[in-house]
Amino acid sequence: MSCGLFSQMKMKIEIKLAGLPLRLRLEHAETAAYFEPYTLPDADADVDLYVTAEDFARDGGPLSDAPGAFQEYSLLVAASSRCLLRHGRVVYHGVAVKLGGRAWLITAPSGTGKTTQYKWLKTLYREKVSLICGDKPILERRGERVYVHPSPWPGKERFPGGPGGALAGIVLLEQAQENTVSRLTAREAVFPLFREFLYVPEMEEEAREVGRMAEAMLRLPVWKLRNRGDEASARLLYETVTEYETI
Amino acid sequence: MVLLEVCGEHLLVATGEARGRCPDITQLNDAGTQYWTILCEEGTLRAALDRAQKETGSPVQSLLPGLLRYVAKLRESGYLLEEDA
Repeated sequence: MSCGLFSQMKMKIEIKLAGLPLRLRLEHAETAAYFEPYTLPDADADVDLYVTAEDFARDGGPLSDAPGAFQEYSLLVAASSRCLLRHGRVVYHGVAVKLGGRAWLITAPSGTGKTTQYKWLKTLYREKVSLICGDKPILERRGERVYVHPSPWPGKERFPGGPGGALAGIVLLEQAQENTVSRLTAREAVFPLFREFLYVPEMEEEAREVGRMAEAMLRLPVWKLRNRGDEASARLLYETVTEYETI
Repeated sequence: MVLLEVCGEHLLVATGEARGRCPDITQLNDAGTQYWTILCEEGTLRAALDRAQKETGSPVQSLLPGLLRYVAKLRESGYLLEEDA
């Protein structure tokens, strides 16, 4: 199966993302370094992953002037989702973290304080907190359940991630003058949750698969943490999610 | 464009060529979803109005202002091209 238009690229490596073997075809050999922890020789992949000529041409974003390898690495986020969506997986924007042994997604638009919350959580609760992925984890839908996996996109801080697990719930962050937490309904959560999927829907089926993923996520508790980005807000987050027992 | 129902909520998701022409995602309320569905299925404002009248039993005079406002909003947001209107 092919996920792009290039058939001959300069370099080919085999990787495994969220348990799925992929044949990664690269235009820039230097890009391979970003995927090193995910490289799996003889992965027996039959799915091709690469950035298309259209993706490169369309990219007018802030990374368009970046060195070729970094641009390719960044464009591979959406390209990966295009491939992964055919297999019930997608890249998502958020910090995936295990709190008291269960996997949670902390999500919000860029610059809202996701990494700050993670740093406070780690400082306060040490071994009870372990990172799965610092910026763009991969979500996998298995029936009605969602699993979180690490990915080659850990964020600019490049904190090392660890094993994933079944998603227990989601925390949406919003900056505020006071720390408060509240449980969201599906109506309230669907839009902020949906806008953080990292994919470019070309086909209707891609959007529908993301819809099925969101549906599965919204069966889980979604909390909104309005916060100051301080130690007290991280305590409130941790106490809220670890005291919530029912999934 | 794809109209998705997620946990009873409706989202309009821009796909393919529609991306960049209108917002990537918009959440619709019940009335917005009903109007969007009717407009897509009927294709013209006149036919949509007739169907809305049949479905709701309300007179055209009371339905028309709301539908026109909705169509104007869709056009302004890029969801509706001039030729579609």
